[in-house]
Amino acid sequence: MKKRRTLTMIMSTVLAITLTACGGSNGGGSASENGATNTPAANQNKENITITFQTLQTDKSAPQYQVEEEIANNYMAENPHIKIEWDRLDIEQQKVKLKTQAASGEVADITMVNPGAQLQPFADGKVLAPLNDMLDDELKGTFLEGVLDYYTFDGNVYALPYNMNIAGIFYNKELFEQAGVEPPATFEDIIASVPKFKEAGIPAMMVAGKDRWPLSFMFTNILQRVNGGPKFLDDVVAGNKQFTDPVFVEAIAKLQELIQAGGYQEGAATYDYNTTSQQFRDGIGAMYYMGTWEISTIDSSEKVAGKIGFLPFPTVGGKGNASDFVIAPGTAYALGANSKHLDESKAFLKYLLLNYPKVAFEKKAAVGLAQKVEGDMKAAGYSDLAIEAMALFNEVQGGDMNFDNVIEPATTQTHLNGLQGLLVKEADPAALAAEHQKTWEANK
Amino acid sequence: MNGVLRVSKGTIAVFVLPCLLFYLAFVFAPILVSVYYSFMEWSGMGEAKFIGLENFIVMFTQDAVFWPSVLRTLYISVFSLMQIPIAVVVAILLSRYVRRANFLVSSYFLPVILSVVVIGQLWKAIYNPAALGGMLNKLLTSIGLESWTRTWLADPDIAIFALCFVIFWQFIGYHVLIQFTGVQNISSDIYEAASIDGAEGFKADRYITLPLLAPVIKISVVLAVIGSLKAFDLIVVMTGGGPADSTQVISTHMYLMTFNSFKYGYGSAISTFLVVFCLVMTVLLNWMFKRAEASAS
Repeated sequence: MKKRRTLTMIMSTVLAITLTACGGSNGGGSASENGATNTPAANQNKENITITFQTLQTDKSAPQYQVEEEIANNYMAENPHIKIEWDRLDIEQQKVKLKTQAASGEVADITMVNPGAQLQPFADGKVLAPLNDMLDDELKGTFLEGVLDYYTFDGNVYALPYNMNIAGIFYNKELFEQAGVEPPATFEDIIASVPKFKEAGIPAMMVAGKDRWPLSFMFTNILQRVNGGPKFLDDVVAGNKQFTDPVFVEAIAKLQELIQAGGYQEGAATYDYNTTSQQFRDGIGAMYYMGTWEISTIDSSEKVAGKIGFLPFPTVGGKGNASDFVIAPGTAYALGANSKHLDESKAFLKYLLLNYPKVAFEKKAAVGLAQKVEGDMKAAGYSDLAIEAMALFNEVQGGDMNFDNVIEPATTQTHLNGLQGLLVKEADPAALAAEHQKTWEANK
Repeated sequence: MNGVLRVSKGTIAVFVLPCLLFYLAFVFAPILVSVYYSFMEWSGMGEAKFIGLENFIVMFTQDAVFWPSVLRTLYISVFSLMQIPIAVVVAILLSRYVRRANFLVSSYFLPVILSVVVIGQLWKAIYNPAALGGMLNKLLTSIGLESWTRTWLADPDIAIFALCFVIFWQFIGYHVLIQFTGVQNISSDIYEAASIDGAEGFKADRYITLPLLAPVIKISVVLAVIGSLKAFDLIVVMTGGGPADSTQVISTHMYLMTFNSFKYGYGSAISTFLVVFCLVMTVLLNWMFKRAEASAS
């Protein structure tokens, strides 16, 4: 298992570096020669077309990977003149590749973007095609209420999401029992439990400090609690609040308190996301703050399936409401504005999304979709964890997007580096908050 | 020379042009383009706005990461320079005491041809915390030096030196190979003549090997310094510039600014600085060599 993971990591990194260096050729219109032999007569006169599909699904065992592949294979079988070519990259590599391609005007036919502030530069730069014309009532009706708003600028929808998740604390019931700790009802409970876990030789919490965003993800939830409700960051964007606000400073101080108590695993700043998730699935670490997208892979893990529970983030210092969540309105498919096969890409994307909920439900990956799902989860054999989490979706009252989806990229970098710094060195929360404000004013 | 070897201009052009054109198109032109963008405020998409020297002013006076990253780049250079005396000693010993040195030289050279990504993963496995199977920490624990264990790549005071060591390890074989070739090229007649005059062993090294090796050492020095100024791939693979910018060097800072912060113009300004910095270092090194040669003769 471990060997394979390392290998995939090496392979994907190598691939990404080579591809980034080459700027990626789209190979538009390169007809597959052997396609002609099994082409039905009806399609004989259609020109063969290759659509490049840049995706974040790199793990063949992940249900999301299989869903995409199955639908694409079905589509190719129904439309033999279309060939879908995959360009698989991990999250960080894909972000860089997409930006490089955007700068050189060679975005893949289909690519993936994040909502809000992360999408805006691409929309403003006219790199992505508006999708309003393909969003007919049939397709629009499959999406959850409001989820498309995160992808809409000036009345144009630029991307269509396939997932929408909430974040919370996954906890390993077995390890909690082993250390004699009850599931936490408050943030203070978490800090108080750290020594007990230490005694049992278990890291209380896991975080992927090298990739930085997971730390910011949980920080956004602390901020939401300390603020007594959502929308602190939106207030900053609107100019009603500043990063130097006592609420923001206290949120940093709270995170630092957890770090100083030894709440995270040793050397947390060297762990990347894949390693951390894998370690949690290997039964190392009692708690893991992450989005509900983890559920399907946790359920398919041999070690911890059935032993993991999911909790909303608890109150911090008695403040906040556990029914407010940090929401990840997902990752979305977008189409390159300069694509040579824009119409064909639209047709395929529509097919993909119309079929996505059904195929995902069959693959037991229906938790955290951006679209409505029909079917009885219990009867379909979903785990208690999945059903528990699905129930929480209905309790969501207010939500915040993750920091990097609300705040512009340069301030986000200051933010991510600052939080990562807390993992390795104590810092003055007020000074870090002031640094946020300084970068924000220089770049907003 | 002129009369003896007359080569027509056309012939020269045939040999020089292809290379020159490639150089102009793929090295020189991009540098000019990035100099052009360094005067712009540009996100990489959409319209670029001319802002004069603003990027450079911000870089030199306001960017808290910039100067420390220049300093770290220099650390790496100094560490790389320390390879050379060791490489020279190894090369001399190899050519004197080892009959078939080729096998050893090739072994030393091996890390140079390994992919940087592989090396990065390998050394990450060595430096990792013990909980992740870090070999170094496990070794230290097993020999009772538990107090010496560190999270090597996560400790901001140590991480950059941990990286320097990997670079040192990776390229020492390269310099051993260069120096070894240099030593082999020194004619044995000279040593024989010297031994008649009573200079043998280290004395011969001091007065014959080192002076005759000087041009080769110069090549090594230039390669080591310029190579380390451009250090990038290993750092990206191993730490990504973190934790909290503590392993950021000029090139990684440029990369993060350009691609993570969407500041293409600012990133171009940093890369322009890097180009100028490399040129200045090369000129400086050449000047130092010239002076050293002048004082020696």
